[in-house]
Order: sequence, then C-alpha cells, then structure tokens
Amino acid sequence: MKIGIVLGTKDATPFEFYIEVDSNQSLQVDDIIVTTSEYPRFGRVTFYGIVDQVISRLEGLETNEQARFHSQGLFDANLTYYCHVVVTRTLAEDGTSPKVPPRPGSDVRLADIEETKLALYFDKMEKKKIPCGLLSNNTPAYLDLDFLLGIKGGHVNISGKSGVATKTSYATFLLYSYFSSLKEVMEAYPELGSVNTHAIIFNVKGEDLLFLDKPNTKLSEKDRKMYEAMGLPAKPFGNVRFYAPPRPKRGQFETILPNTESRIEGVNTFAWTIREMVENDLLWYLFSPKELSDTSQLYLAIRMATKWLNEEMREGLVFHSLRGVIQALEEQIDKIMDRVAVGTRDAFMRRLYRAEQEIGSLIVPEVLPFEEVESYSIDWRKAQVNVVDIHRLSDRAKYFTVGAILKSIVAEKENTGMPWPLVFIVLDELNKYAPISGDSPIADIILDIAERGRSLGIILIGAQQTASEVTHRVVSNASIRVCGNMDASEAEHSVYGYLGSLNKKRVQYLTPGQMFVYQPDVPQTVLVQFPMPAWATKYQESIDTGYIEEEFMVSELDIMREIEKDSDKEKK
Amino acid sequence: MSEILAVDLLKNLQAHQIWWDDSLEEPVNIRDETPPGEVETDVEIKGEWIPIKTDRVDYRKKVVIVDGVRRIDAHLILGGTGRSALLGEFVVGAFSLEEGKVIKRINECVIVLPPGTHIKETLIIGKAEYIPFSAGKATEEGLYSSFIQRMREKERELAYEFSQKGYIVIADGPLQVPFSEVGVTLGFVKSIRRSYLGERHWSIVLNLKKGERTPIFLIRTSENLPPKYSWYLRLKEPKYFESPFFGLVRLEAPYTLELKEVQELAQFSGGFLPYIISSSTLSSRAPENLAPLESLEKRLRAMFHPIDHIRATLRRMIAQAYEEV
Repeated sequence: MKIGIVLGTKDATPFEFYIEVDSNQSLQVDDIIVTTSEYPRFGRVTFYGIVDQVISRLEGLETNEQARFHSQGLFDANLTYYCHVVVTRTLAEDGTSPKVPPRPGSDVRLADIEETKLALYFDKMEKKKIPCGLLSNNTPAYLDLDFLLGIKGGHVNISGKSGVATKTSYATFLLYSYFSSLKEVMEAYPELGSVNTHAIIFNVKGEDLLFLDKPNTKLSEKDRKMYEAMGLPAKPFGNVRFYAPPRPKRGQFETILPNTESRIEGVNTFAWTIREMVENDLLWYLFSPKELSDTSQLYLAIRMATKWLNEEMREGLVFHSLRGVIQALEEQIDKIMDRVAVGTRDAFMRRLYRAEQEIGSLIVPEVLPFEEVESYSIDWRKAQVNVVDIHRLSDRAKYFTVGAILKSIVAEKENTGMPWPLVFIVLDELNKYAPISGDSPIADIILDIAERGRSLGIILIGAQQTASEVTHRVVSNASIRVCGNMDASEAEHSVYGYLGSLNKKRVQYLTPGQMFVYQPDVPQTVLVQFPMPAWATKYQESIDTGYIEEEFMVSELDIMREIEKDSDKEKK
Repeated sequence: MSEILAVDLLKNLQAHQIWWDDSLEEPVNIRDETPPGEVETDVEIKGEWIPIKTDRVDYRKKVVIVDGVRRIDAHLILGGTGRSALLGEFVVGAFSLEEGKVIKRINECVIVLPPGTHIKETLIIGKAEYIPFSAGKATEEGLYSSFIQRMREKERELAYEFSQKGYIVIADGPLQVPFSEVGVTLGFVKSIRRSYLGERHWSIVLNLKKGERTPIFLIRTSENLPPKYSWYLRLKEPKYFESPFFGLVRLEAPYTLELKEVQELAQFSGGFLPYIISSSTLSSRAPENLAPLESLEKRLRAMFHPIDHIRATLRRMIAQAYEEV
C-alpha cells in the first residue's frame, strides 16, 4: 500500500532521499520502505531503504507568530510530514545495482517480508545465517554466519550500559539462535562435520546464567510469539555444564564444593592443581595487570620462578597449597633469582602473598584417589555450553581464571592445528581484561584471540560498558558490532562510527531488549528487538510457582503425606 | 497543444522581444477605487454622528475571506508595431474562518492581447496554459487593467459561490459590481486614500476607538453604478507617533441588502475583525491586513508556476520560432 511519495523539494540521491508521507498514513524511524523508478539504461530500478528520521512541520510559515495564528485558526499552513531514508540497496531487473536516485514523486510503500530480506541483503546470506532479533516490522533480522564463524570475519562486540543494555542476554540469545539452527548451519557449512560447536560463557553478574538448562516458566506469550516469528523454539539450552569456584574449605580433607547459592545440583567445581599451574605457565595470572605494568622486572622474576618450580616438581617435589609454593620460593629466592634486583624480589614475594589470599582457594593439591571427581579442570568439550561462574571472585581471581582458561584453549587449539570444533567465548567487562592502555598477559591473550582466533576456531563474543575503554584492536577485529542502551556522550567516540550520527543520539533511549546491530555486508545498522530468555535467569523463573516460600509449603505438605502413608502402612 | 504548436503560435503573433520587470507591479494610475460621488450620511443615524460600539464575537463562524494574487510573467513585443501582449497569472482563493484554513484555490494564466489581435488556442509554456483574451485598450495600462479586471471577476464569482452556500464573504478591496452577483459580501478596504465624508463626520472617524465603527452611510459613485453601504471601523488604535489612519478600515456592503441586515453585518464586523488582525512582524500592511488574509495570499502565491522555468522556456520557444531553417 502506498504510504507517500519521494519528495522533490529535497535532493534525492542513490544513497539517501526524503519521503513526503500521505496524510492518511504514517511512517516511523526504522521502517523499511521500497520505491521504484524507470531509467533508460537500467529499466525498472527498485530502491530499498530504512527510515532514520521523521520530521513534521508547518510548511510555509516563517515566524513563530504565524504558527500561533495557525493554532488560532487564523493562518493556514501545509502540515508536512516527511522522512529521511537511507538507501540500503538499489536493484535493477537484471540484478545489477545502478547508482541512480529515485525519481521525485514516485510512490513509496512499506517493504513486505520478502522485500525486507532484499533490503537488508538477507537473500545474499542464503542459508548461511541465523536470526538475531526482530525488525520493526516484526520480520526476523539475520546475522551473516560468514562474518560470525571466521570465514570472512569473526567475533562479536557488544557495548552498553550495565543492567539496561542486556548485553549478556543478547550474547546468550545469539548462542541460542546458533545452537537452535545447528542443523541448517551444518548443511551450510559441511566442513563443520559432525564435530559440535562449543561455548564458554563467563558469568560475571549474579547467578543469572546458572539456569540456562531450565525453562523460564514466566516467559510471556508475547516473547513466545517473538521466538516463533524468528523460527526458533522457545526452549532452554539443551546441553549445559556449570562450573563454579570452590567454596572456602574448613578442613584439609573436606570435599571441595562449588561456591554457588541458588543452585548446587549439577554444578561442577573448577580449580587448578599446583602442577597444572606450574606446567601451564599460569604464574603470570597471579599478578594483576597493574602490578605487572608498575614493575617491569617482575616479568623476569616470574619467568625464573616458573622455571625453578618446573624443575623441582619434575624431580619429585610436591606442594599441598599455593602457600606452600610461595614459602618454598621464599626460602630459595636468593638462589632462584640471583639476577633479579633485591627490590624486585621483595615486590615479587609481597605480591605473591597478596595473590595467595585471593586466589589460594582456586589452587588445589593433586586430586586424591578418594575424591569423587577426576579433575577440577574445565573440559569444554564435554558440553555444548559451559557456564563458568566467576561473579563471586575478586578481580585478581577473575584475571587468573579467565587468563588460565583462555590460555589453555588457545594452547589446545594450536596443538590440534584445526579450527574445528568451533568454540565461542562469551566474556563481559572486556575493559577490565583488555583496557585501552597498558598491556598484560591477559590483555595479550584476548588480543591474540581477537586477531588469530578466527583461524584457531575461537570466536570471541566480547562485551563491555564502554568500547572506548577497550583496546582498539580487540573491538576493531569484531566483524559484528552490537550496541544497546548507553550514554550519548559515550556513543560520540569514533569506535561507534558504525552507528551513524542519528543512531548515536538514539542509543540513550534504547530499552532492554533493543539492540543496534551492525554487520559488514549490510550498509545500515539496524535496530532489532530480541525476546526475554526462554531459559530461567533465576531460581524463581525455573519453578512454576512464584515464591520460594510456597515451594517450601509444598514440600512440607509432601512430607506430611509421606508420614500419613507410613502410618497407614503401619495400621495395615 | 504541443510545444511545437506553441512555437508556431508565437511566430504567428510575431512575438519577439520579451521583457519583465519584477519591481513594476502595476501602473500607478490604475486604482481599485472609483472616484467619490455623493454620500448620504443619515442612513443609520439621522442628525449628529456618534461612534458605535460593537461587542466581541467568536470569529469561528461560517465566514470566508476571498482574495486574489497576481503576477506579471512577461511582456511580448508583437512585430514591429510596438504593440505588446502581457502574460500573467493570478490565483484566487478563500480562507474559511470556521475551518481555519484555505478551502479553495483556483489559478489561471492569461495572455492579454491588444484589441484586434486574436488567437484561438491557449499558449502552453511548460505546465502553464495561458488563455488568450483581448484587452479593452492597446496601451500598457489597458492591458494591465484588463488583466486585473479578469482577476476581479474571478474573485467575484468565488464570492458569489460561497455566499450562495450561506457563507458571509469578506472580499479584499472595494465591492465588485454587479452586486446581484456578489450575495452577502463585505468589501474590506484597507487603504484609506481619501475621505468620503465631510470634516464634521471625518473627525468622528479619526477618533474611533478599537472595535468602534461609524454609522452606516451610503456611497453613490456614479449614475451607472448602484450605490453601496459603507462604514469605517477601527481595528487598532494608533500610538502617539502613528498616523490617525493607522488601524482604520472601511467596509462596504451591497445595496441589495436590507438596512437591518447591513446593521447586523456592521456590528458583526466590529465584533471580530479587530481580533484577527495581522502584526507588524507578519505584514508591512499591518494592522489593516488581516492575519487570515495574509495567510491566504501566501498560500495563493504558492500556486504560481515557477517563474524562472516559465521565462526560460518562453525565451527558448521564441528563439525556436525564428530559427533559420
């Protein structure tokens, strides 16, 4: 249906034009439109575009006084309602894309589902795509898998204010969309073969992600419809393993339990044995990036300490705790670090003791035969999705955990020399791990993943409140950029250039669930809406009743019924 | 008609030179107002005049303001005779006070030819179709006068059309004759160039307060024309430095109406016209120019064909007409 005409009083170009909206119609920002014009060389040319600004004014009035007269019925004016359109694509009948402007006066209409696909190049993605939300006209938007999986590009970077921007929810949603479309993905990329893709999600806030495998019983009908519109089932993740750091132990032989509150069942404890720490060269991660940048000689000290520990352990020395390691180092420090200045040695020891207080619980002795688990290390190949809960850890312990895990994945991938199976890493607070200034082992490994990850089959879905505070190369290596609610002042940084000037002003008005998505083959950043998670994000959502208290009441009833049954039996 | 035919037409007319002068709107000796004749001052009040107060009324009534705007597009010099033709365009329209907007606009392009020169077809230049008609006199003033007269006729037709629909019509300028074809129409004369009244009555006029009017008087202009009712009305009082003519207008009503009806119209006019005046920021003719009138003129001017395009096309067509074969 016609909604307006191409405006002739403002320049129409192959890249942008204006629409005068019919008086009985309306257009809003983000609407996708279509218009056609005939051209001698090219025949019928179709123009697709996105409305990025709508304007209304009383045309023909020059002063505010006239406008006031107009409101009093004493002055006539043409109430004009027009829109600015960014052309996303021009298509001639032979499939070429001539760069000609639409003719002023041509009829404009809203794009239907098929035209929307053409407007945003979803047709070019063929089967190599996954839904990434709904557009303003309730049709699905897609991500080009070539730019997600490392074929032409890789990595996703998500920016936005904590709490409002729903960054983690979107990252999880993208993973869900990917894993739900796995069958189609396999068809599109036969090289993936039967090897599954895996994901490691670092849970940095609350215990939100500890219920990924439970359905969200509070999911609204509206959200269900959104999943349906994207062709996705509204279900929880199917194959998830949860990892949490160990609970502080009281006695040496007490079992190691995961340090979680809302869920214990099915949660594995992660930790490193002293051997793993030494052999995998993880001593670096005991130090915070700041400590490392403050004392440059610390690097030498760490290297020498690691060398010595490796040698001693090979010769049979056994440690029972991180403290034991530190004490041994202290005793031998003059011998180990003869080339290191005394001041640096002291600084090294001081920092190790501080690290021990925060990281000590993550380092465990060798797994003893009577323990139930074989190992406390994280084996990401055992599940499709691995949630690593680090939200309770101190910053230093977070650096250690993230650094150690990423290092082991990169090492493992380098050893196999194969990009398959793919592994997605979801990591929030990138500004903490790879800040714009200063370098550290953890920043190095993230940068390494950003730059080489595509060939290693490691895809980083990174997030941060402010991309302007993250190492530029980490952000610029992400082919897909996403932005949720954030301050307009932050959006002014050049790193958000993909948003365009008008969207930069809009970011502060985005509501939870709304995201601007940019991908290389689509010339315009699009706004998408994604549904509430179909999986629970807290205990209350994983159960049918609303309150824990009620659940307890039910349990009491159950107990009473059991007692009744027992007494019945006795009577018989 | 195609452009080829239009070119032929210009050739037949021996139209040569074209010129225009946008600063020249119309020759100064063409005046809207007919000269004053006899005035009867005791139509409403016998004896001594006093200012008549009016009560404020809501202006959102079934009232339309009718006006026209005109533009001279070009002059054509015809052959070697020195006679000329005039190409002009006018737009007439109506502003409804009830609806607060312009409810009708009609535009017409004309080619005014000197007497004795006739063409049958309209002259098409771009999207504008110039309808030919002959002027009364071959002089430049004669052409102008005929052009303006044609617009006035259209205004009168429009006024009549609305009065037949039950509207009170306010027409810009003096009332057009014949009155039988104007219906209930008030002429709104904003330029007070002369006094129709003697000194005794004129001092009352100059001392009118806002919303006050003079008693109705009757103007007889000439033997051939019917008389018309008239009264002065103060729209806005002048400040100490302003002329006593400031904010003063004269209204006219056709003689075909009953005096009682005219009295009602006079009271009505005083009850709302002072409240819909324009301001000096809007109009150089404020406050006599009404805001809706200003608006109407603006909207009418927006209907003119683009002048640069018309003139460029005309210039090209004339060149084509004399192209050597």
